[in-house]
Amino acid sequence: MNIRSRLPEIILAGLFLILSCWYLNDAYSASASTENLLLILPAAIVVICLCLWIIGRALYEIVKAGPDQADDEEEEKEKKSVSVFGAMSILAGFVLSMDWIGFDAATFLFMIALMFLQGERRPLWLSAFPAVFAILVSLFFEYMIPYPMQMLLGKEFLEKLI
Amino acid sequence: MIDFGAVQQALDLLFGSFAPWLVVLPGLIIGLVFGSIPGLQISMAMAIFLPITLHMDFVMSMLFLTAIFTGGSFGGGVTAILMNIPGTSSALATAFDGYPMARQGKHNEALGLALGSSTFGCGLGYIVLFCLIQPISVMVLKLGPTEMFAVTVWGLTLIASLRGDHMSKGVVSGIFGLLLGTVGYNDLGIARGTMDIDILLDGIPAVPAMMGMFAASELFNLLNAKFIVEDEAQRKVSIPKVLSGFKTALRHPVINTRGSLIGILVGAVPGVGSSVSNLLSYMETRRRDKNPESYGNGNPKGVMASESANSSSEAGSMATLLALGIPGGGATAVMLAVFAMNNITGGPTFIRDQTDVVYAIIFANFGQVFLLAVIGLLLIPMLAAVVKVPVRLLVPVVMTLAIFGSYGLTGSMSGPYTVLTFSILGYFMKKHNYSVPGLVIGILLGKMAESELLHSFQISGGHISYALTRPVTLVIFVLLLLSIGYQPLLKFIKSRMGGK
Repeated sequence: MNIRSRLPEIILAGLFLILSCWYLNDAYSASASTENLLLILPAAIVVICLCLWIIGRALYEIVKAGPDQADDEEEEKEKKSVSVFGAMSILAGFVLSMDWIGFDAATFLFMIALMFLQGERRPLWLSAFPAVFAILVSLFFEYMIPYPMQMLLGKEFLEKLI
Repeated sequence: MIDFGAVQQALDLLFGSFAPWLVVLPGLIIGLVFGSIPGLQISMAMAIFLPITLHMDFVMSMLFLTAIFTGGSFGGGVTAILMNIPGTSSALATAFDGYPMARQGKHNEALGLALGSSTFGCGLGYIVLFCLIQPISVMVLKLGPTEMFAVTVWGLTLIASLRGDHMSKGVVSGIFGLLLGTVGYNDLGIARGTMDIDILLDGIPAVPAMMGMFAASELFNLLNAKFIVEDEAQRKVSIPKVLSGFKTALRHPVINTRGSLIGILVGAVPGVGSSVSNLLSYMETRRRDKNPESYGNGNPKGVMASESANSSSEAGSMATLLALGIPGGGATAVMLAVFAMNNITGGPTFIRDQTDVVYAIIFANFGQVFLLAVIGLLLIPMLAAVVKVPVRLLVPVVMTLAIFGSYGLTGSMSGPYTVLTFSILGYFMKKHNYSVPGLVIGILLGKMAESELLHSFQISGGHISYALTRPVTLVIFVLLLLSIGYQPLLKFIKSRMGGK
């Protein structure tokens, strides 16, 4: 175990710790009544204590293990995770843009980008499949759900296209 | 308890003409399709097709809607097994072992198991409903917030069972989930943890969070694979294997019966229902098994436990609807609309005066159980073909469906934002051995736990001794302690006896 492999774990435990402290403080600021803190206070205290324990144990194991050593397996995993971060960015782009450029257009672009990232290079598959799927899924949900959906081409246009 | 005169009249109502049965088949297929598409809920399907029932009589309308309900209960398990998307909270525990089975190439068996247990659970649920509709409804009326809190605590103990290899990380996940579940307005009208974001005022949407934690985070792990099932030979869709899974489910009557009874009892409690019953049944089956470590890694008993419970919950929720006129969830609320459209009020008077109609609805559901088995066996081969789709096409398709589905569930961008946030969190939690199911259970039960605890606190005036005056609460807590301490106690007794 070296510091590089333990660092993400410490960061994650730290995130839970910070969020729990902040949430407890926010709930306390909203109302310090027993009713409001009945569940939140004990639950937050348990999370805070356990996160401190996890961080402390991880730090102890880092100190015990000594200086960093190159870990081939870890490096291999990190190389592999490049596409994961790429996929996360593409998903984030999709979600953040769909209300802006329209659900249909965002879906089309998302499909192309993610398929390309996964190694799809055939032009027909990269263009036709995302287009057909984006139209069908947008129309299907447009008909099925009772809420308005932002669309670039619009339901009427897509219906004419089909 | 059983009015045999009414039984005869109910049979005449059902078999006097073929007309009532004409709507059952389409209802089951609609339910299966809606249940199998992430984000499309059973209640949504029922609401969409509700106007059609204007042209039907009361019995026919109820048959149509209960058929959608039955089909949808099974459909939710299909996506949980094949894509790790529990489209509804009632299929959450199905994903725990169903998806690992699919990844091991046992998707045919897993779907067969789910169908077998769903059929068993639904059938047993309606048998119990037929015999005990009035006692169940009386019992439900005796449940107060203290009892509901005890049931929720029982569900929360599953967090400890799903801790994985690291106890501290498992408990952190579960209790942190519990905190996330309380975000937004509480019953006192105090908003917490909203960061002044409007969409958080109603809390974190639980089902989109579940979709993100399970489905999207798992899809990130699949990016470097070619197919969900790597071995080509195991990717085949095999009807004999589906049938073998179906038969296996029926060979485990104890697991299915326990799941069904939990499903009926918990399903009858308004607002709790199948989202808790599948977890309780899974937890109890895991606790009683000789090899609890195998759960979460593709143990068929986990699928059976969950599916039998969520399917029988339908009968439980029907008990409160018919006997008390109280809808336990979205689906039964739509059914209540049919009551209103026909000028019928559910409750003791309805059961007393129209016993034949109540029995007709129950008997029709027995028929639906057999039809579900047949239709399920016919459709499963088509659904299981998902494992043949290359991952480079499957991942974008499933992610898109999850995002659209979450929008459909919330009606705003809060759904897609929730899926995005929790997919990233879920990926990192899984990578560092935190319990993803634990966090999801915490989110699901957090609001309910806080609300029931608060009501208990207000009623009791803060005196814990109040719980001692509630016999049902005590019974639930004793059962809870027994279920936790049963195996260690048995081991202790065995070791003592072996020592002698």
